Amino acid sequence: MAVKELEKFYFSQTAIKTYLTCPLDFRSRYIDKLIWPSGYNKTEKQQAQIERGQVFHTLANRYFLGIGSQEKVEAGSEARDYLERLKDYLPVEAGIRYLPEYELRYNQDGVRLMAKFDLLYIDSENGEVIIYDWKTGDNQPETSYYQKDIQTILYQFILVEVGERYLPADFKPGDLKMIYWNPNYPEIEVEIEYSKKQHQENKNYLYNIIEEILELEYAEYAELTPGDKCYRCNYRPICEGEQPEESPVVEDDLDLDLDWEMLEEIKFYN
Amino acid sequence: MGQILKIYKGPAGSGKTTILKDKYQELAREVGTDRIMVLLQNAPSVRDWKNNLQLKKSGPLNIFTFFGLAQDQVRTYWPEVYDIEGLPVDPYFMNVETAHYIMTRIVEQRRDKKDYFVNLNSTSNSIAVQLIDNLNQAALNLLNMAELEARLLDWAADDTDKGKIFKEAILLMNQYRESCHDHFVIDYSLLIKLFFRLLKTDRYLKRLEESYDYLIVDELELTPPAAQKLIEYMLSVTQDSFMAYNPEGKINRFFGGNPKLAEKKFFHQAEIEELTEFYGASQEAVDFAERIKGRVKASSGIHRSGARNLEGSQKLADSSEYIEGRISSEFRGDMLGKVADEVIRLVETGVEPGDIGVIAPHLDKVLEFTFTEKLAREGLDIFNLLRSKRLIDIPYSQALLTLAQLVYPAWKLRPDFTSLQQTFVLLLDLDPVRGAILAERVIANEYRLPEIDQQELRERLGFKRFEEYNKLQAWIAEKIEAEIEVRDFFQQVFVEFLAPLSPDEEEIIACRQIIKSFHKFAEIIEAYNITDGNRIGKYFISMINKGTLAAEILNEPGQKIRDKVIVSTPYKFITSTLVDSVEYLFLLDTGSQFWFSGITKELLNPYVLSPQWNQQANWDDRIDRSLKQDQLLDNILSLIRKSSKGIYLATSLFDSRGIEQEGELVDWFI
Repeated sequence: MAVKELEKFYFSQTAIKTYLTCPLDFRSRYIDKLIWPSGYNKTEKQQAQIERGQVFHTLANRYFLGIGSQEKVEAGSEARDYLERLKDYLPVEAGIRYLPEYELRYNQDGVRLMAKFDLLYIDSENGEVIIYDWKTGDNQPETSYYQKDIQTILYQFILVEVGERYLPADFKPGDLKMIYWNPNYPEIEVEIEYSKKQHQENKNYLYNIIEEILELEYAEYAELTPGDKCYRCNYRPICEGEQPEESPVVEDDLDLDLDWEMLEEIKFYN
Repeated sequence: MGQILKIYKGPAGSGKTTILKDKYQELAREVGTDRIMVLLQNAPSVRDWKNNLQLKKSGPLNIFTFFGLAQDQVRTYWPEVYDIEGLPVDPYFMNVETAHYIMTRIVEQRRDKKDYFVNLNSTSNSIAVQLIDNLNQAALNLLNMAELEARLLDWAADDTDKGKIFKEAILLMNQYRESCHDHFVIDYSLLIKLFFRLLKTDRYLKRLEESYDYLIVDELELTPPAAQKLIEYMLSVTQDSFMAYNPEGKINRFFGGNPKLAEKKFFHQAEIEELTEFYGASQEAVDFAERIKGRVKASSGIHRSGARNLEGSQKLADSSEYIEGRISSEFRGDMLGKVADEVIRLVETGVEPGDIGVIAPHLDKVLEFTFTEKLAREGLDIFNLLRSKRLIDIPYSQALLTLAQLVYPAWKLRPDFTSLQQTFVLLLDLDPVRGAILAERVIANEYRLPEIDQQELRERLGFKRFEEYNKLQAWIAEKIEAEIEVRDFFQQVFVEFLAPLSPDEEEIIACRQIIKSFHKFAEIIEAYNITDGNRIGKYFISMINKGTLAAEILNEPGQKIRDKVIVSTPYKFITSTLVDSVEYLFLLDTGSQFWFSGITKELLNPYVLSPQWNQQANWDDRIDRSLKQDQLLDNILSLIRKSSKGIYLATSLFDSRGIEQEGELVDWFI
């Protein structure tokens, strides 16, 4: 994608986070489209962690969609344990609207944003709206970390801006919460409140970042590289000609996979 | 439940898709994107719709191809699809190339026993391809295995040898299908079957009803019967539906599309709006196409080649003004030269190279070489719509495959001289001459990179590249030593050698296509517990070499070819999204029999599997010829409508092999 094509690009939390971590990393992934398959430079343990997370998200999605017969699925004991914990943590109730794996897009003032929510929980009767996000890493969730995380900022902003069709009639930003939950720590719930003031701050913050990215020339990304995280970066072979150290597990963009996963049209061989 | 069904009917370029897009956006603002299902005919259209929406706010975009939707739903509702314990979390989706591989193994195993397909000379791979095509065609036409067998035996009629072969084919197709069930591996045909299993449950239909209010379908004429059945379901559970139909769009007919059935199913219940204005072809092109159509349709009798005998039918008369020129020679080489001269002349008069299309029913090396050479002398380049799709023609993906063959000698595959040369040129930044020297040395050294300790070779390669060469040599040795998994190998080559060389987008996509395809391929092989690792690598490489696995180059709409003369076969040109239309079209080899492509093979007959098959009829040469004729007419009309200023007709008495050309397509244009 040329830099110009970013104007048509919907920024996800991963894309913005990548830019904030290293603009050159962002350029490699989203402009040059040098996207490595997810298993690159991961240990077996990390690979297993990624797969476990994917399986759990699949099972959770089916659970909230009300798809039966999940007991027939051989998901591996750990993922199944996760699902059982999720059922205990958040039993499905009548009168609540559950929207799992739900995607919303925002496109105004030249700013394009998108979010794919693990779960939107909408209790119209009590005016309660919750964004749930599942984490499956080994680390215990920290409120202070998620409070400032771009995912929180982006998700809360998009839901308030775009979600009016799904939200209770007299909904205000103060009625929204975002909850991070990790089945490895089922007792811990990281809950982040929202407000009208926070919403305006988030809007300014997001607009500034997107504007900054859209104004950059191709070469300027490299000039902004911080250069202190390179030893674990997947792009190290390109930037430095060196192999990266073990790279961290990051939540990958689902939208990046669209071009890959679209089932190609059937073709007959003449 | 349906209240309004509106069908916009009009030729290509009449604005049908634009109307549907506007309707979609209007509805989306009203009820939200999640309440609207959009069915399109190919992946590029889906990307185009998604990328160019002008909505300030949108929810989930339920814009799919029929297969995309089926895959999405079967994956999501997977536990409800199979009533069986021990399901994997997700099914394994198998692309068509992998399906060919699995089927080839099944065919080979039977043929090894020398009791199946005794009188068939075709390769096992060719038989496998036809069996998979049979399954796909049957699924697209909603035939179960018993019905498929009955149709094939109908086709065999009294030919007992043929009947025996079809029974064997059915047994193998059943065996293949069972193996898919056993391993939860889903190919196209099974995907359709499972999707319809879902569609037959009240529970799922209720979900559809609760999820959608509107249905939009573009290019209804290209939909196969299975997709039309889905549309019928959707009409029963949604409020309003809007569709677009091109009465001239029959090009997909033998690829599953069934326009006649679509008309029969939907037109009687629809409000039809005819769109007569169009923006693609010129009025002259359309009038000319109509004249050709009228002339061919009015004729009677069919020539042995498949073309109608036009004796007595009205000649083109005035409308032949649309024919800009007729080029004929005794020998094909002369004819090609004259065509190239005329192309050059047109460009000199100000025509953009991308506004010239050269169409031949068979693109051989002679044609391509003649054009490339002659046009290059005038600073012109060609864009071959066929070759642009071959992974092997992209140096980066070629380097991936070449290195794989060097690292896995057990596959017993040898890269050819050119592949080696180009790989060294790319990886070591050598000029072609030095690349050739190195390629020769590697071949002489039994496909191992030689130690460069000879002063002479070092000097010939250049000292500057010496270090790079050593690095590559050490890297290959290390990979051989480590016995690295192939799936990881492709990835590592790309990351460590190719990506740092600043590939462009097409090159990156081509490499990713190989990496991704091999991952998918290996995943299925793993699911089947097949352990013949050498064969897998070999099969994969040969699949790419044959061009079976294509590079889906993701051209965004608007990225049209402008600066190169387009060279193509008819079908590729008609269906390409890279070309809206050209000003001048050259139809080559109009005397060639290649224009009359048959639709049947020894084990495959799409017509027999279609709903139109009249079970009282016997398949005979007359039906075969008539269908060839119809297909050719559709092709010619579609080609003409993709031009705006005129066509050139070029023919030679003898083809490249020195055989006299006797095809009657020439007569159509008299």
